[in-house]
Amino acid sequence: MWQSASRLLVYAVLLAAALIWQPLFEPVLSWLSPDVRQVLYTRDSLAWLLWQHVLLVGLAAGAACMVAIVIAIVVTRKRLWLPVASQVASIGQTFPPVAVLVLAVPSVGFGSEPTLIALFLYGLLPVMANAIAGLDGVEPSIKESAKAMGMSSRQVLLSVELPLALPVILAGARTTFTFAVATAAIGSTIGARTLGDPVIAGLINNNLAFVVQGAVVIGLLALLVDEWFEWLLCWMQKKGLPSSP
Amino acid sequence: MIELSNVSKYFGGACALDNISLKVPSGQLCVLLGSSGCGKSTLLRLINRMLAFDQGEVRVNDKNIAQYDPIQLRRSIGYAIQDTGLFPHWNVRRNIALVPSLLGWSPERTEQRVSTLLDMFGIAEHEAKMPHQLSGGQAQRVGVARALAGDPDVLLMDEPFAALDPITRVSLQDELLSIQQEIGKTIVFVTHDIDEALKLADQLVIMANGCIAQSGSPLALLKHPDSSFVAEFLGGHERGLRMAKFTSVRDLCSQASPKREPFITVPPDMSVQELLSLMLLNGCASAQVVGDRPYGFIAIEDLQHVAKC
Ligand SMILES: Nc1ncnc2c1ncn2[C@@H]1O[C@H](COP(=O)(O)OP(=O)(O)OP(=O)(O)O)[C@@H](O)[C@H]1O
Ligand SMILES: [Mg+2]
Repeated sequence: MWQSASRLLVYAVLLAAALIWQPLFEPVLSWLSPDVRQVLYTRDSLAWLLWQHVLLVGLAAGAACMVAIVIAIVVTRKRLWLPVASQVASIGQTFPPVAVLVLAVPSVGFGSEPTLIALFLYGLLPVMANAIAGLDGVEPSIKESAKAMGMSSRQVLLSVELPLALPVILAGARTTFTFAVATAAIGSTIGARTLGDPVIAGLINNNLAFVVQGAVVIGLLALLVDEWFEWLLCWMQKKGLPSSP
Repeated sequence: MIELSNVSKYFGGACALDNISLKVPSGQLCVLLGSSGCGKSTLLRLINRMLAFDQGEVRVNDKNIAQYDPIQLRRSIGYAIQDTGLFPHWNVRRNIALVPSLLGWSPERTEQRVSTLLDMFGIAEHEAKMPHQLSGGQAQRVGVARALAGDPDVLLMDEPFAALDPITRVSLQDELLSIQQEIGKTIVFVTHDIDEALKLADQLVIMANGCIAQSGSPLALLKHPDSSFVAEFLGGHERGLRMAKFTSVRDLCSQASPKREPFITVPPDMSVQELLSLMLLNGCASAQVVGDRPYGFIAIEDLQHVAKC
């Protein structure tokens, strides 16, 4: 747990350093691309782009998690649609995220909306797959005894099934969030303002320094998010909650 | 009181319970015994409405169970099962406190009740453990404590002491009997262990293929089995030894001093079964019965009267 917390701290410090002391890295960046006039990306501040990126990811992935959990709860109760839901969830994940992004453009045009929609749709799937597996994987004898003790179905869901499925659901959320951090960057190609901006600008202008600035911040953000989930799992284990079955 | 009248239950086309009628008066412990698949668990689960039945009527405390709210009914009936069904994400204390908290007891009253039960079952030192940190026997104690937590009048127990070592098992049986004598619950108890059944039962019900083969007091069934099935089930030729467990030597001893030496000395409340075992072990045919006073003597010929006691 402390190991995870200290890694978390290191990533946060590195990220802050990259944003605040961006100008200090100029010599390194100049060494990377000696032929270009401007190596520091200043069209927008990296902090502002980071904020836009986080907002986009948080909104889309957060909504995706909530909707996916609700769908999983519904289909594990009214079991008619259960096979369909789990098939869609597992097959959908084989779709490349870029394809989803591109498909969203014709329907809503350029900008942040198609990115938001693509991230949301793509983010549904891992959480849905895991939430279905987690809720369905709760031992029948435990659900039976909860019912036999006089718990209502609502109490069984909230106090038994969801807590027991939580580690598996969180593993799905972890995939959704880390993928969203990476995928959101591609949103820059269709007009969203994200940390992908410097990367795209760098690729277009043949400016490796720009690419590196965007990529490093995206990478650190992804590590930070992933490590936060790691820390959460450690914390839950320490609290005595069951680990993944 | 639990009363089943002409209850039948089908799974698909298969008949699991066939026209069962059974009455367990308040404060009595009824044991269901029968081979695997004969419908014992099914019968139990009808009573707390975990299963619906197809025909007949079940009454708990003089009220048809169809008239209870199923959730309220289950909260008022203790239920303990072999694989305990403890919540793996709750510690022992919280597991036991489940029904009291569902019943809306005050935290103080719940705390107090849980502490009493933890002491009663000798698991106070494990109160903070999670179920996976318990041994099988400890977990079964927690399961039984949880079933008792809401202080229910009616208790359903489905092989609650299975998979325990004989010593722990006997101590839990004694615990249950003393609780039963103290607070007189109405209990339906399922077991596969004939000695456990004979020891605990006020009323013993032998089931076969969804029907009741015979029911009555353990001694009555041992002495007068209706069918060869019941006789065989209760131990065949060993039925006599089981019967001997229900008679104490004080009821058979006489003043006439034995014609034969040597003899052993036994207390008056020893069972005839134990006496016979001691005679076999010591290679003797008579014993002197001594308690707070001398009771007399008992010889191997006297044992033929056991069946008439
Ligand atoms: N949910 C169910 N669906 C279909 N058949 C069932 C169901 N539950 C039980 N049965 C059948 O009903 C019969 C009685 O089962 P039950 O569990 O009551 O037996 P039991 O006497 O408790 O056996 P055991 O001693 O092995 O626990 C069995 O033939 C079993 O296969
Ligand atoms: Mg059974």
